[in-house]
Amino acid sequence: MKVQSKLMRKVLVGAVATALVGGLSTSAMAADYPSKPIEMIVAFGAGGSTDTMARIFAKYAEEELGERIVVVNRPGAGGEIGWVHLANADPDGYTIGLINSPVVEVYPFTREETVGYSLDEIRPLANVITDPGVLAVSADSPYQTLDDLVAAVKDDPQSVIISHEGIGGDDHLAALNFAEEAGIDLSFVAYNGNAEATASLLGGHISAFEGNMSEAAAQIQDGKVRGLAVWADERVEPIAGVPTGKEQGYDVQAAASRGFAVPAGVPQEVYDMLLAVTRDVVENPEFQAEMDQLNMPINAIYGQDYVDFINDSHDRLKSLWEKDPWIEQ
Amino acid sequence: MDVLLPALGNVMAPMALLTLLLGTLAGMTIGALPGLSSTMGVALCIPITFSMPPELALILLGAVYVSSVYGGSVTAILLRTPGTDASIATALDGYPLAEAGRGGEALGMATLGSLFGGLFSVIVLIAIAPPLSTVALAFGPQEYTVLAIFGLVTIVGVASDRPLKGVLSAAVGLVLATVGLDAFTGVQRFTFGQSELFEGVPLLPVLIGLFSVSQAFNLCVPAGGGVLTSKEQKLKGRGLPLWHDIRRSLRTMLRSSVIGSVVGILPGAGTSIASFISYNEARRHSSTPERFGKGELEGVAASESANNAVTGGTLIPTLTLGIPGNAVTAVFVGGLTIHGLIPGPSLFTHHAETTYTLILSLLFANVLFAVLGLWLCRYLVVVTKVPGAVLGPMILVFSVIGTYALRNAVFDVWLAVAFGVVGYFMERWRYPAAPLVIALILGPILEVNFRRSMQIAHWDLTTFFTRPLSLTLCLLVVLAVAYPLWIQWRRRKLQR
Amino acid sequence: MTLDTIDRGVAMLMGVLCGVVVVVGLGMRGDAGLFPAIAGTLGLLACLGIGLDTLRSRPPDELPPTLPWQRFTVWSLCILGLLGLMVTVGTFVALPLFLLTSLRWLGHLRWAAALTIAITFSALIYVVFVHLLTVPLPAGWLVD
Repeated sequence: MKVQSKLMRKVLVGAVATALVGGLSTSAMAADYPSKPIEMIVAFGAGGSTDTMARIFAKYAEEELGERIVVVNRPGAGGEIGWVHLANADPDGYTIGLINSPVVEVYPFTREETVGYSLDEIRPLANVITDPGVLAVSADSPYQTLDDLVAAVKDDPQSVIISHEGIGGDDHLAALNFAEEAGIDLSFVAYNGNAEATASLLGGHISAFEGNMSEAAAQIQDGKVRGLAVWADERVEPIAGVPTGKEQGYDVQAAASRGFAVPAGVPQEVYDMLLAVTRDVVENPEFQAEMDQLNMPINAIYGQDYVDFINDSHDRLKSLWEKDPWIEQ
Repeated sequence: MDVLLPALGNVMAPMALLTLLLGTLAGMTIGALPGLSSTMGVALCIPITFSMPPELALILLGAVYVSSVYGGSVTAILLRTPGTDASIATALDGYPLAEAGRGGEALGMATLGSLFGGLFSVIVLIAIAPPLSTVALAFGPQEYTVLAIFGLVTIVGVASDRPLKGVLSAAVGLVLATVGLDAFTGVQRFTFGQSELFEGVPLLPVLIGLFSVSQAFNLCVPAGGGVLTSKEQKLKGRGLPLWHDIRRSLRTMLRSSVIGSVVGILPGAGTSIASFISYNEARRHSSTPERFGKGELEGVAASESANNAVTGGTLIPTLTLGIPGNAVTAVFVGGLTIHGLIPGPSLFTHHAETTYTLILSLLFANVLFAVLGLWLCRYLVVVTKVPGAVLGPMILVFSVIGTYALRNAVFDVWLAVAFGVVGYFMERWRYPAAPLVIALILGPILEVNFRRSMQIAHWDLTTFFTRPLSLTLCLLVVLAVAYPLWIQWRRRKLQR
Repeated sequence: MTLDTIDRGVAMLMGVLCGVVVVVGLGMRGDAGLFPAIAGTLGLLACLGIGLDTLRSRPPDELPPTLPWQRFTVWSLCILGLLGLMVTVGTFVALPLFLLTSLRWLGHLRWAAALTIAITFSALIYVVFVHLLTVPLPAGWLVD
C-alpha cells in the first residue's frame, strides 16, 4: 500500500522533473555522484552475518566514495521486506542493498502469489561472499562419512533427523539436493538459526545439521562437531579436514552467496562507479583479512557475470521447483 | 585465575573506566526508553566498536547490555511503560507503589535486586561456567515444550484475580503467535497477504502498544489524571527502601537469582519466563501473598533480581559453547567475531585475558549502575508528579518513534497504536494484558518445540514422560496448577 | 453498561473469532493448523467460561469507570493526526504540532509553556534518534 503510493509519487515527481530539466538530468547527476549519503539496505537484522559483512564493507567503501554510507536494516519475511524496499527505491544510486542468493531468486516463484518484488526490478552489482553449505554431526556420532549416514537412512528412515534453518531456505535446499543425489528421503526439523540447532546437535537431540560453513567452522575447529561434507567444488580453507560431497560420490553444490545490487534503472555511469568501488574494496587485503577472520570465503563475481549467476541459479531452481515443489502447495 | 589480574588492569585503565561509565549511562537510557530494547542498544553500539581495541569494545557492549536490562525497571515502575518483556513483572508491583507515592522506595529495591541478581550471575559465570553449560545441552525440544507450558500456567495465575480472563488473554496471544509463515510447512497463517506479517506479529510493537501507548491513554484521557492516585498525596521522602524491607527480601533475591541464572543458560527460553516464575515463587513463599500485585516491594525485588541474573546466565552458553542464549547475545557474538574472538572454549584458553576483561566489566557495570541508580532515584521519582496530560503525549511520542526505529516500518507504528487502544479497554474491563504478551513470546517456543519433539519422536506423545528432565518439568506444571487450587479449597474449608 | 454486560459481549465476539480460527486452522495443510486450532479452542473455552460466569448470580455487579468521551475523542484525533502527518508531511513537522495541540487542549498548559515543551522535546528526539542512532525517520516533503 505504502509502496504503491510511493511509486505513484515517484512517477509524478519523475514526470515533473523530466518535463522541467529535459535531457540533461542523468549525466549531470552522474558527474557529481555521490553528493549525499548513500543508504545501504540490509534485509536481515543488525548483528547477523549479512549485517556484519555489510557494515565492514561500508567502512571501506566510505573511504573509496568519500561519502557516508548509512546501513539500514529492513528485516522481515526472510529478507523479502528488504528486497521490496530495494526494488522500489529511486534508481539514482543513493540506495544500494545486499541480496542473498539463492533465496532472493526463489521467492518470485515459491511465493508467486504474494511476493512484492521481481528480479527485473533489481540489478545485481557484484557478489562478495559465497558461504558453502556444510552437513555436520556431533563428534560422538557413529556416522563418519556420508555413506554411513546414507546407509543408516536406508536401514531405518526414521533413525536420522536433520535440522535446517527454515523451509525453502538455502540449507533446506542443500539437504534436499543431497537427498536426491543419494536417493533417500530425509526427516527434517526446522530450527530458527544456527545457535539452537547446534545446541540440539551437541545435546544429542538431533542426528545431523545442515548449515553454512561460516557459522559451523568454529565448532568444527574446536572438535565438538564433525563435518561430514562441505557442498563445494573443492575443500575450503577454514575447515580443510572436511571432505567435499563430490569426493564422496555425491555431487552436490550448495551455498549461500551475499552480494550487492541496485534498483534497476540506475544510470550506467553510476552503476560502473559503484562496481569499481566494490572491486577496490573486495580486492583490498585488509578487507579480505577481516572476512577471513569471520570465516567468510570471498568469491568475487562482478557486473554482468553476477547478473548471469543469479539468472542461471533462478532458472535451475525454478525447473527443480516445477518438477517437485519443496513447499507443498 | 592468574588471568584475573591483567584483566583487572584492563578494566581499571582510565579509558576503560570512561567507556564503562558511558556504556552504563547509555544502557540505562536505552533501557528506560520505550521501544529501545537491549538488543537494539547492543546492535547500535557495534558499529561504534569497530574502531576500538577489542577490550574496550567488549567493555562497552557488556556495560550497555547489563545496564539496559536494569534501565527498563525505571520506567516500568514510575510510568508502567516496560521497554521490554523483561520488566513486565516489575511493573505489576512497582507501578502501584509509584501511584502511592512510594516510587523512590520501589526504584531503590529494584536497583538492589538488579545488583544482587547481576552480581550473582556474574560470579556464577566466573566460577562454574564450563560445567554449567551442559545444562544448555541437556534441554532438548521436549524439555522446552514443557518449560513453555510451565511459563504459561504461571503467568495466567500471576496476572489476574480472574483466571478465566487471563486464560482468554493468553489464548489470544497464542493465536497471534501462530501468525506468519510456518517454518515447518511454509504455509502462510493468518497473514492476509501482508508481507510485514510473514515473520509473525512483531513482539515489541504489541508490547509497547499494550503497555506504553495504553498508559498514554490512561494518563491523558481522564481530566486531571496522573501517576499519583490522589492530588494530596505527597512523595514519600525516602529514596531507599527500609533496611527491614531489604532484609525481608534477601531470600527472595537469592531464589530469583538462581532461577534467573538457570533460565538464562537455556538458549531461547526468554527473560520473561525467569521474572514471572521468580515473581510467582516469591508470592508463594510470602506470608502475605495477598499484597502482591498491589504494591509489594518483594515482588519488585523478585522480578528485577531474576531479569538481571539472566544477563550473566545467557553469557554462559554464549561464551563457553558459542551458542547465544537470546537475541542480545546473538548480536554480542557478532560483535565478538568482528574482533576476531570466536565464541567457544578457546575464549577461556587463548583469549582468556580478553574474556575475563569482559566478565569483570560486567561486574563493574553492575556496581556502577547500582550506584548511579541509587543516587538518581530520588530525582527520577519527580516524574510521577508531572500532570498526566503532559506525560502522556511524551510517552506516546517515544512509543511511536521507538516502534518505528525497531525495523523502520510504519506498519509497526499502526500496530502499536491499535494495540494501545485494545490495551486501554482491556484494562478498563479488567482483562490482564501481561498473559497476551507472554503468550506471544512463549507461543512460538511451545509450538516449534512441540512439533520438533513430534518429528523426532515420530508422533509418540509419551516422549514427554519418558525423559527424566522432561518428566520433572511435567510434575512442576501439575504442581503449579494444583497448588493454588488446593490453597483455595483449604481456605474455603477453614471459613466454614 | 455493567461489567457483566460488557463481558458477555466480549465473550460472544471473541468466541466467534476463536471459532473462526479453529475452523481455518483445521483447514490448513499438514500439521500447520494444529496450534491455531488448539489456541482457538482454548480461547473458545475461556469465552464459554466467562459467559457462564456472568450468568451466575453474583452480588454487586460493578460499573466500569466512566469514560470521558470528549477527551478520548480529542486524544485519538491527535494521535491519528500525528501518524497521518508523519508519513506525509514529515516527522519533524508532525511532532511539534502533535505535542502543541495535545498539551494545549488536553493538558491546558499556557501557549508559551506548550510551545516551549513541544519544541525542546522534538529537538531532543531529533538529536537522539536522527543524529545519535541514525534512524531514517520519515522526512516527508521536507526532504524530497
